[in-house]
Formats: sequence, structure tokens, C-alpha cells
Amino acid sequence: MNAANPALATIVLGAFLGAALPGGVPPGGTPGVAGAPAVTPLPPALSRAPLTLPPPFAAQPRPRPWLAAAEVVGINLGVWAYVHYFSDMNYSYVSGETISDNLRDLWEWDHSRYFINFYHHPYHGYLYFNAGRANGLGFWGSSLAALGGSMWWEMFMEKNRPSWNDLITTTTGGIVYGEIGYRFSTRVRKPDAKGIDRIWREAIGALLDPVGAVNRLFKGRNDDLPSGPASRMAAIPLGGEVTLSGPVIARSADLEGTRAVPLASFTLDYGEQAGEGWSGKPYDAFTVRGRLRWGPDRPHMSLSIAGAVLGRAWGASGGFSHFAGLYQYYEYYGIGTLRLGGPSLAAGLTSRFAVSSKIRLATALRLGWLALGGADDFSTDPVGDRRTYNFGTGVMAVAEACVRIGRFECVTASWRHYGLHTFRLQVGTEAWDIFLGRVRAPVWRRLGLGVEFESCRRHFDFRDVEPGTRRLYEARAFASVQF
Amino acid sequence: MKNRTRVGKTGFLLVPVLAAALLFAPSAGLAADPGGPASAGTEGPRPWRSLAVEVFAGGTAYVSNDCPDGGFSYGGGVRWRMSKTFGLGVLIEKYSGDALVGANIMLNSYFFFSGRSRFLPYAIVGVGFNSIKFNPDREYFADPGRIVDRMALQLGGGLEWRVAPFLSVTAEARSNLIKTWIMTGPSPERIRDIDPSTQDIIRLYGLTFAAGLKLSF
Repeated sequence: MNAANPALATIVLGAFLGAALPGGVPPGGTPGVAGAPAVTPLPPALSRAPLTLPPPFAAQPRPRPWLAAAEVVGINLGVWAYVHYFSDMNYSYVSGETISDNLRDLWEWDHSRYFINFYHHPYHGYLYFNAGRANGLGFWGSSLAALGGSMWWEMFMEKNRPSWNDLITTTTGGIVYGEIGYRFSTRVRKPDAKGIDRIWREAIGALLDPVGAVNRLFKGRNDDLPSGPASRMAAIPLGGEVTLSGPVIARSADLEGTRAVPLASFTLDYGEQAGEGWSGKPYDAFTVRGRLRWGPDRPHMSLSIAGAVLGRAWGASGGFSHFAGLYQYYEYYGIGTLRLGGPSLAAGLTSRFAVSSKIRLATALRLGWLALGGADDFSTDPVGDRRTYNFGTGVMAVAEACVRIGRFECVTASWRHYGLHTFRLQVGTEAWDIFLGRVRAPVWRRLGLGVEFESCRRHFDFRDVEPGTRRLYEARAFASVQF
Repeated sequence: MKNRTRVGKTGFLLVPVLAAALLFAPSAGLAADPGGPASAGTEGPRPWRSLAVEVFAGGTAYVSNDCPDGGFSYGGGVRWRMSKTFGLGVLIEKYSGDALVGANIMLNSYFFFSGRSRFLPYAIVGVGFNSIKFNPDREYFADPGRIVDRMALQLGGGLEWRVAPFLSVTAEARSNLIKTWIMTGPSPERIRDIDPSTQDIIRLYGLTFAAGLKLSF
């Protein structure tokens, strides 16, 4: 990794969030490793060099929980004012009577549109979490802010009954999105930036850390704060890949042939996935994978974030390293018209082995609880409201392997399994198996060409429906840049 | 009559003296305030006191075309200034007009532009839980129905004149932006069962000017 890498990474993440995000140069940045493709020189675990930890905070800022709480309320008020006065949403007609009714009737399951429930709500939670982080609270304190803000919204800011699934997706998704946004904001803001340089850095930082940006606006920027570029977070290594795929060769029961469906995707690996440099702070290592495809009927998106919350690393010598951790997942997966999403908690082992001086193998095995999965097949309703999806809970499992030759990731394979016991809409069980395999060859500098194969199998056995299986296969050619 | 004339003469003398004393005295914010809590930072004693109670009175006009009205407003509440620039308040206000009467409870946030001046301008953003009714003292040809209670945005601004560390005079302009409807039939068991998009929405946008006294602790 070199100085250009964070810039590319933030551009990628920003593009996914709806804006281009050039990034700053991390002071004292170290090379990226497991999960991060391009690594020069070899990481400490492989080179046996002494591990250099990022410096601690220069000064711990004083937490301001009351201000954080006030900002959470302010966020709710602002969002409510927007949807009430500008969007004129039905649910925004709130009064003491509706609040009293909500407190009396309590919780229900809400079938808003799939995209709203599993993708928009986390962004709302992102702001709550961000209010905590921007006011000096830690990860867990900010998580409470996300929970409190979501509870407040559900109870008091909508006329509809409070919804379990909104609370869960807003809180868990908000924590995940919030922490990665906050972490990336430290890479964009730059000490001593002036003029245009400062303006665009602060503007991009505002997208990633909006509440922190408001605080910086009113209270003056303080680069020693955790959200500031002087923090240790700005020195944590970052690597990844940007991929552009061409035509898709697809096979399924109702569809076959070649479709010219453009597809753009990215992977960002923040921190050392196999545990080197793990300081015990949640999200010192996480992975973000995003994908945007145009078609078959409308743009489809996938987003998968997995962050280490707790863990222990060992063996950062002798050619291998291991990290056993508890991971928080938030996933939103879509292929064709198949959709699956929700928050999970998984325990697992991430390892890296030096097979030879140039070949390295990285593996990850995880098993966990899919707390709330939303799953369905929109093939019968490709352009409709998309409110007909199942809610369920169950298990999730992940197995990943990656071979890197020299600086580049060449062969990767991953398998994900989700077993759901559905309890809303269709009652029964369903199992999802998603396999992705890819081979890539370097062509010129960081650029490479490759092919990948993806399959998605969904088997369902519901009480009121004939059991069945739906499969979808895709093969794609791609060009990618690894950094 | 004779006594009143004497009082008037005394007042005539006292008013300019008091006014001069207030205007040329050191700023209340800058004056030593032994009762004020110390700041956690290095800025020395806070030039404000955190907790305050206030009373106010003024006039309100509902300027919208849906239900124009005007009348007298009064109320009181508690404010908590959390920092140099930010505070929260809970206030209760009663309104009595020609066509409408009502009450609201306001949860307001205050944004101060200065921490140490004698005159403190501030902005108000908050919500009010409004209960507006048709004036029961008026006679109606038919049942006018019930204006459904509503939570509404409060926006405004004010000026605080700090005459002493513990006492301020306030002047505020506030607007509460009520969007609701009039219910004429029987009420449903749950008000949420009514779809607002099927109702004739009325906009009761009120503008209140009020003066008040604020006592800080």
C-alpha cells in the first residue's frame, strides 16, 4: 500500500454512499495485509519485523453524553420535521394521543418496503451512533445512543406502532455503518489543511461523520479528537479492490443467456484481518464489500460489512497469524431478484499462512446467529412495492479462502450459508447458500483481469406453500484494481 | 390622586437612574458570579447559570387562511442551559383567542450566539404538543367538530437582557406550525387508524410575541 491507497478507498466508499471521497494520507500508515491485496513490503507477521502499533490518543476528549443525547433528539426532530412538512408522510402526524397509543399497544412487525427496512433504517441509526462518537463516547456508549435514538423514534416520532424490525435494523445497522463512517472520516480530514483542500476534506468528512462535522463547525475543528486526523485510527492500514464487470452470463429456472448487466463492486479491508496490531478496540479490523448492478429490472445493490468487536490475536511470527474474534455483521445481499439481509453476530477464526516466500494463504471460518433476516424472491413482483418478504431468525456460516501471490490476490473462494426459521409472512424454514469463486491475473501494475462465478441457491419449506428451490448462477468477466 | 402624583414624580426620577445604572454597569456575564458553577475547562467561571425558571405573556396570531384568529398567550417553564451555545427548555403555554382556545407544552432547544454579553440573542427550535379547540364560549350553528391534537415544530428567536446574574428579561417571537384536521364524526378507538391523506388538512400556523422574566439559579 502506498499513499494513494486511502484516497482510492475513500473514493470507493464515497461513491457507494453517493459522493466521491478522495482521502488523506494516513500519518505513519503501515502496509495492508490479510484481505488487503497489495502489500509491499511484507507485513510484520511474515517479515518477522517487530510490530509497530499506532500511537495512542494524544489526549482523550471529555465525553459529553448529554450533548450526544441532545443531538440524538435533534436528529429525530430534524428528520421528523422533514418528513412532516416537506414529504407529508402519513406516519408523521404525531400527537400526545398517538404517543399514548404507542405506549399502550407496544410493538409490532412492520412491512415497509424491503429497501427501506434493511437499507434506509441503518442510515438513520448511523446518525444516532455518529452523535455519540462525535461527542467523545466510545463504541459501546455510541451503540447505546443508536439504541436510544431508535427507541425514541419508534415510540414518539411516528404515529404507527413501534416496530421490532425497525428497532433492530436501525440499531445494529446504525452501529455498523456509523463506526465505519466514523473511522473513514479520520482518513479524510487532514491536519493543517487550508483553503480548498480543507473545504473539500471537511465536506467529505461531513458525509462520513455528519454530526462530528456539525460539532466541528460550531466548536472549531479539533484534530486531537478521535474523529480528527491526528488519531491512531487514521494510521490503521487500509487496502482493497475496485472491480468492474462486463456482461453477465446468467442461468436460472426462468432466465438464461447473456445479459449486458454492468456491475461495479469494491472490497475494503480496514486493519489487519488476521489480528496483527489488534488493540482490543471494536472495529480495529473490518471488511466492507459493496456491489451495484444495473438490472435486470432496476439497480440492485449488495452491501456486506463485518467488523471484529471482541477478539484475541496470536502467532504473529513463524509465518502465520491467527485471530479469534466475535464479529458483527450487517448484510444486504441481492442477486437477480433474490434478496436477503439483516444483522448477525458470528464467532470465528481468521488466519494467514505463509506457504512460501511469495505465496500466502488467508482463511476465515465463522459461525453465528442471524438475528433478524429478511428474505424473499421478488421474481413475481420485480417492480412492485416489495413488501412481501419473510422475517426470520437462524444461523449463518461463512468460509473464505484467498491465495495471494506476490502483491496480488489471485484466487479466492467464499461460501455463505443462512438458515432461517421464518415467522412472518411465510412461516417455515428456508436455507440460502451463496458461493463465489474468482480467479484473477495481474496485467499491468495494480490492474488485473479475471473471471468469477457466483451461485445462489434458496430452498424453502413453508407451511402454506409447496416446498421448492430456486437457483441462480452467474459467470462474469472483470477488470479490477487492487491497492 | 395626590398620592399617585407623588409616586409618579419619584418614578420619573428613578427610571432614568435605574436605566443608566443597568446600561453602564459591568455586564452580568462578565461580573463575578460566585453562585455560578465552575467550568470543567480552563475558561474560568461560567458566565451563565444553568437552571432557570421563567414566566412570559404576550399575544398570538394564527395567520393562516384556514382558521385565522388572534388572542392572548401566557405561560411559564424551566430552562436548562447545557453549554455556552446550547440549552433545553420545557414550557407550558395557554392561549385564549376569539375563535380558538388552547394550550401547548413545548420542548425547546435554545442556540445562543454569545455566552458573555449582557444582551443574548438566541434561536429556538423545538416541538410543541398543541391542543387547540374551538372557543366553547362562542355559539355555533352546528357542531364545529374537534381539532385533532398535534405535535408541531416550533421555530423562533429571542433576546435575553441580563439585568443581574440571576435575573433576565426576555423577548421572544415564536411560530408553531400545526398541521392537523378537524374531526366531525365519532372518534376512532385509535387516532392512528385515520389516514391523514384522506382528510382536509388545515395549517394553523401561529405567531407569538411574548415578553418574560427569567430567574436563574
